[in-house]
Amino acid sequence: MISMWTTIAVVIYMGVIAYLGYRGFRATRNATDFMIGGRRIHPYVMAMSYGATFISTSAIIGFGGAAGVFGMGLLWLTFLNIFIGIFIAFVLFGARTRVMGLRLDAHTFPELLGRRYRSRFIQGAAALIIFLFMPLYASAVLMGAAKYLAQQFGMHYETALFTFSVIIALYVVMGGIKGVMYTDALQATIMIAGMTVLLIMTYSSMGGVVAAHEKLTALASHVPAKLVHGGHRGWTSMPAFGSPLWWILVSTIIMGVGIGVLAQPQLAVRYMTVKSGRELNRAVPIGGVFILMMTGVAFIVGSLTNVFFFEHGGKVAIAAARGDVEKIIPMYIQQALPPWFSLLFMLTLLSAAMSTLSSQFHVIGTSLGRDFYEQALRRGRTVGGVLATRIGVIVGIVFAVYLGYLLEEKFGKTGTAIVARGTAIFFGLCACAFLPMYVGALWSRGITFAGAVWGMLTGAASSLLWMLFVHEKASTALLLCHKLFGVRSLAVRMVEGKEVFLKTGPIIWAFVDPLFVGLPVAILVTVVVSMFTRKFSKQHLEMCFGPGPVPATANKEE
Amino acid sequence: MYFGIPVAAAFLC
Repeated sequence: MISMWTTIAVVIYMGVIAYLGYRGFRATRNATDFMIGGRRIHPYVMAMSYGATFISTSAIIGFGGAAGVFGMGLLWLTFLNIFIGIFIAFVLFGARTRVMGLRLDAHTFPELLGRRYRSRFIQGAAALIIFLFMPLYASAVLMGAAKYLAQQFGMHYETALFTFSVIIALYVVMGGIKGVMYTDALQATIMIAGMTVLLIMTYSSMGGVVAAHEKLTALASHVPAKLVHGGHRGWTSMPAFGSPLWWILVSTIIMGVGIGVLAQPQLAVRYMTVKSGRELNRAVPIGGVFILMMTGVAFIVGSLTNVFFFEHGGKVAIAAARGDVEKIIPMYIQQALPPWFSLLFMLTLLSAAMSTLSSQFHVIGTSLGRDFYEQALRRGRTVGGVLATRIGVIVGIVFAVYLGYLLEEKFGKTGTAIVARGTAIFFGLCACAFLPMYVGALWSRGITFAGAVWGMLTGAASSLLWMLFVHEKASTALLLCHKLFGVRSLAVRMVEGKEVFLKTGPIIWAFVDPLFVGLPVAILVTVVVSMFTRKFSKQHLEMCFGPGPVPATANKEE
Repeated sequence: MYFGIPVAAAFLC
């Protein structure tokens, strides 16, 4: 019976998605429409699209499962997601990005940086970083979604992978950012409904907010010995300061993702899609509540699954899921909640995956077609419009599917591990390469072309080197360190056959996120090089920052 | 105990 309802729900869902994609296609007349929605997107659509792009299935399933292991300390990430990822992002970054994007007639994040620093090299290099590394991030989302679909509908993994990709490709290629954002808004609405019901049902089944937290606190003595050894002190406490679990939680999960969000090209471009600062202000409350109901609910429910599994089997969540973090939330949904909710939750996950993927594919396409091919190489401008970008989207999708399929096919578990690091790798790389020059572009008249270029290159290089050779999770997955030096990380030593992590005071280097190394290096290089190199002319800076905003009525269309 | 949490600052998101 459920399978019939599931089929009906999915058919209706796909029908509405197709209609919204068609609406986007009909409303797309030129490059400005295709890339930034004609700068006239409604604030509700913009905020929900931003949130849905930000939150993928890994935020709900992966991080929700991680909360089942780490506990409610992960709520620091929710706070950072709301305060930095929405409030600071929209109010400070969004307002300036929108105005400067309009002044410089920029249509993409790399184009904004390129025109601000008068450099086709910066535009091309930023586009190349996005094109080369974002497919890995997209693969991580794509593989998770395809596996989930295959499991739900009894399909082959390959069939699910290709079907899912083709459906998204259709509305991204045809509808451009309008198709992406209209569908995102619907998907975000489904997501918020699913997560709200999940929160209410979980708390009410455990006797309310305080009672549920007290039950979870009472389980502190049942933390598995291995986790206790790593610094775990219960699911309503932070891990012991300086312990391996503390470093993983604070360095990688909270700070790495919490700060990395500011320089995500697929999110930054959203600021340029609205008409004025008023629309951005109107988007702030929508985005804030959306993120609270996404990551906040995932982390609280993920932690509270321990109470359910302990009361219904005497095991904590990670033991009930037999060590597989990603199974904690799906198992809880299946065992603790009524069958009709499984259907709503399936649509929630489908929406989370599709909304993130469509934006990733769109940005990969604009980076390759518009930024790299048309602008940086100065080719193909005669074809005009969006043909190069549409071809770029198709190339990007093929690249992501190829990675998602072949990495697992050729490298088995190692391939899966590499793709699983895709999100963290892309977030860290973007923050280190783009954040210093992005902040400089928006707030400083003193950052020079040379400072921006060297900051970007050293940020990207130091971040990648740290991932390849030091950061234990990444270097283990990427294998190069083991191939060259025979150890999985240069911060790990073998002493009497046992692994020992190198420490300096409380710092365990193998757990320090690349962002903590690459970002300070990039900031330092950007500032120091800018001090000794030629500044931009007054005319150029006035063009970027303006003599002061003046009222006007029209936006330029390409 | 704050909200049943002996992390409470993070919850007080």
